Amino acid sequence: MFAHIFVYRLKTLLRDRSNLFWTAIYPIILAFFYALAFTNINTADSFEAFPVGVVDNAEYRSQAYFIEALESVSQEGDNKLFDVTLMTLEEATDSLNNNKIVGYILFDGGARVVVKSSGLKQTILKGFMDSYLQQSSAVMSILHDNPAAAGSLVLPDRGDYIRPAELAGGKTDVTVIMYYGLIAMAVMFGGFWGRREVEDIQADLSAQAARINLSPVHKLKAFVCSLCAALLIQIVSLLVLFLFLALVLGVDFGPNFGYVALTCVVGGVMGVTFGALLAALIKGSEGLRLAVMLTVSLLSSALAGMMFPTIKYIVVEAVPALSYINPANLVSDALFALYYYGPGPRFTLNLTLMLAFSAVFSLAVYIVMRRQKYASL
Amino acid sequence: MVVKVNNLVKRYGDLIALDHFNLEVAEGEVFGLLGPNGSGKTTAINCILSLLKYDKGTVEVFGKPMRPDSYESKRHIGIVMQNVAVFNELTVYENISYFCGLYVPDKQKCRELVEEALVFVGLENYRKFYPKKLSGGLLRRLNIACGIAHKPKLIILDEPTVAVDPQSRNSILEGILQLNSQGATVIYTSHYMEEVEQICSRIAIMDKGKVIASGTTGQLKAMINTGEIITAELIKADASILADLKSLPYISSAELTGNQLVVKSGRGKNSLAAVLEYLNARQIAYGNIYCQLPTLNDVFLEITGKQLRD
Repeated sequence: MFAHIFVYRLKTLLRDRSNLFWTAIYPIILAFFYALAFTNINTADSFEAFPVGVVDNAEYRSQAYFIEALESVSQEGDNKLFDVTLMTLEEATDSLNNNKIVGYILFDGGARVVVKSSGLKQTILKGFMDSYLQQSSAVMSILHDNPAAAGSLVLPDRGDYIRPAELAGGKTDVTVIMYYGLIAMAVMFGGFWGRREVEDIQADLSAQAARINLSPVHKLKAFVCSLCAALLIQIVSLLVLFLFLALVLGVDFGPNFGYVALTCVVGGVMGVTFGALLAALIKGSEGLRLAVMLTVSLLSSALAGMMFPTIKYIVVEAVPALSYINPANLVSDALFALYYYGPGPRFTLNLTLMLAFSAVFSLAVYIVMRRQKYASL
Repeated sequence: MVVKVNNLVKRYGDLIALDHFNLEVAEGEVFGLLGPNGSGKTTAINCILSLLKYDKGTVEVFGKPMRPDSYESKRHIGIVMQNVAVFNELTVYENISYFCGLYVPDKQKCRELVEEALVFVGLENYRKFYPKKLSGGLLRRLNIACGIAHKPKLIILDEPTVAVDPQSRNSILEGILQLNSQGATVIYTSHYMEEVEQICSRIAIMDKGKVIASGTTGQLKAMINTGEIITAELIKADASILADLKSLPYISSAELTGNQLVVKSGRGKNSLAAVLEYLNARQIAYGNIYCQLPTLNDVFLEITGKQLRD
């Protein structure tokens, strides 16, 4: 009997074009448009080393620490900030006037930065110089007061002033939060399958359900068989979305593909059972159930950072509890935690909460649906 | 008794949908539940099937109390609902196969039954059609096929001919009689008195949640005073003749609406001849005159004071 119901439910659901669109196709289309939009954002945000001149004079050559710091940010690699060229003062002035360099550094009774205009690159150059001077001033002050401390003083790597520390998963990219929010939305849209299953098993919601209720099959048994078909479709849809994002659009999920897939599976269960619960509780028309489900799904996904990543942080700051009870946020945060910190405590907490929510939703659906007679049809 | 309902009471708040409803349906009958919309027919069926909660009373099907978990009884019941209950995403064949498979676990047996059902309702050429592609009549036939494919002993049809064209309606009614001839007991609800009169061996007339009369068609008609109804289209209306007509033997009432004269006679013979003789004697010209025997509507009208289709 399980196979009979399961196979026919699979056929029924796979031909349900509306639900299939919203749960499987729409997130992929949205991801595609995200990719179009974010490609430009990433290009605009990408950093390239820029040309800087250093006036090569005797005072400069005496600044051993500075030369070391400058080399650390001008060597090839992720930390490279400047393309440094040693030149005379005349050459530096000429290059600056001809826009061949962003600015130049001159040691002339002290260090100073010469730039022609203001801008991001000029600010970075100035920031580098300021932070060096602050550090060297602090070191000189300590050495003056306590010359014995010279051996324990280490001048920090200049690159650390500009770049954040490398995290566990990969590069810093806020747009991944929006993609994770998109997956969270797809998880929530799984509720459409749950809604469909409840409508097709509750005799007060559809004539087909009444016919099934009158058959010699236990209602909950039929529901579980049907729900398995819905879960299979939803989980496959989520995995396809994940693979599309990772392999086609190149969205970075970090190295933990298996855990991301696990998040999709658990998220699939949570989304479908969430939709089932809403459908079981809302006794209005089909349109009302649909409207509530859409509103809840989109709102929870938005709060999880799907449309504007900063919202996720605002929620955590302003209403921390909401980030733990918002199912969409649990999904996006699980993926976020995996990306930055790997499968550690934060990921485990999110996954545990998702499982707990799935269990609570399932139990509530069971309580609502266990009755076998209806007050009205 | 295949179905026995005793003192069933069902309330929706202050509204009493079933008021001490009683019913007995014997094996092999085609039993008709006749009543206007809102009289409680569908509610009664849903209570019998243990789909609806009820406040009071008992229901037995196949001699056993009917409960939601009476799976053995349910295995032998087929239901054709008022609303078409099929999945739009499944083809005609798949719909019948899905519902039949809930009753018949044996796949081979199920396939045979589905084929038989397709032929029975005349949808063998539509097996790969989706319900949305079917006309209203064909859709109703599919609805019936889904309800009877597993060859149930008791078939309950709840207004299966609503919004169906006359041709499909006749086909459905013939099919019901055929199922009955194959041994199925049938409960048929309708507000179309002609249908009920045509196929039912016994009828219960319902109004306001109560059975107000039951019996065979003949027994029901015998309950009322009206024997025959004579209608004449007069060339010129003259109200003064009404008193004379009422004084004729067996005539119970005479009414004039425009030029249409309606005379009702009680249980007697040759009232038509008497009316004709009177009109001819008074040289009252008439264009058309005809005589009708009472219908179930007249039974309903006389008992409740309102038309069946009010």
